[in-house]
Amino acid sequence: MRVLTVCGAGVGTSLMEKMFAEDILNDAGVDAQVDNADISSATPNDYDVVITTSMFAEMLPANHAQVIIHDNIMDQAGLKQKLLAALAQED
Amino acid sequence: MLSQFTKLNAIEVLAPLTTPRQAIEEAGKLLVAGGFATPAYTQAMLTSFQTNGAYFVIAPGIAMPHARPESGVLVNGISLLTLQTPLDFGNAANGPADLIIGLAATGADRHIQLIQAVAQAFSARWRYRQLMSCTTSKQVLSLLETDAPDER
Repeated sequence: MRVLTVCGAGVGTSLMEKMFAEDILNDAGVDAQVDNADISSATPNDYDVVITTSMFAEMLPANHAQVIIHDNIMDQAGLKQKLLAALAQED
Repeated sequence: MLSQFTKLNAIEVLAPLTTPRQAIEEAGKLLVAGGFATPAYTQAMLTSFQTNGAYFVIAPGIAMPHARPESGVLVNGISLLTLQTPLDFGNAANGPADLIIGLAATGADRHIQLIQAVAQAFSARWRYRQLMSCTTSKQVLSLLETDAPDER
């Protein structure tokens, strides 16, 4: 399972999202690699799941990944719900 | 804890600002005052706002403007600015913001600790409310000297 988090600069928001996603996946016992990137260098087709905000979701290049839209970065409970639902789809 | 990544002179409370640009500029000035970034970094944050929009409103009420490390970051750190009136940066999902966290991140390893500290400090919603009730910079700094309990 490969997960990508995407934001504008690639050093703040997407890194925070990556940390939260790693925690959630670890807790769920899922073997996953989580990377973060800025929107201009993101390669969503290399990943199974992409987590980003509404605006960047529209800017992503065409891809086959499951895109999770998550705008309240601090809402870890919400992210957990969306991420686990996406995992269920992958299986 | 987050206090190790900021300074008293990088904190300002209840600023009477009226536009998002002013708020980003002020957060940038505070980063310069704290020695975390050069004035060019403020400009880079404004440019990012123009280009990428308001995705940096990371939660209801909380904006974390930032730019790329090479745009003028000197040392990992944050400025903290609270506003008298919430301002609409244009993030439909999270609404207006009145807590502005100017983020200067080097992109090096220690930067991960900084992001972790910010995430930990503001994951608990009451920390935001507590911070917004501060009337002096000193109160803000001492609040950040205690770790928020992990609510996860």
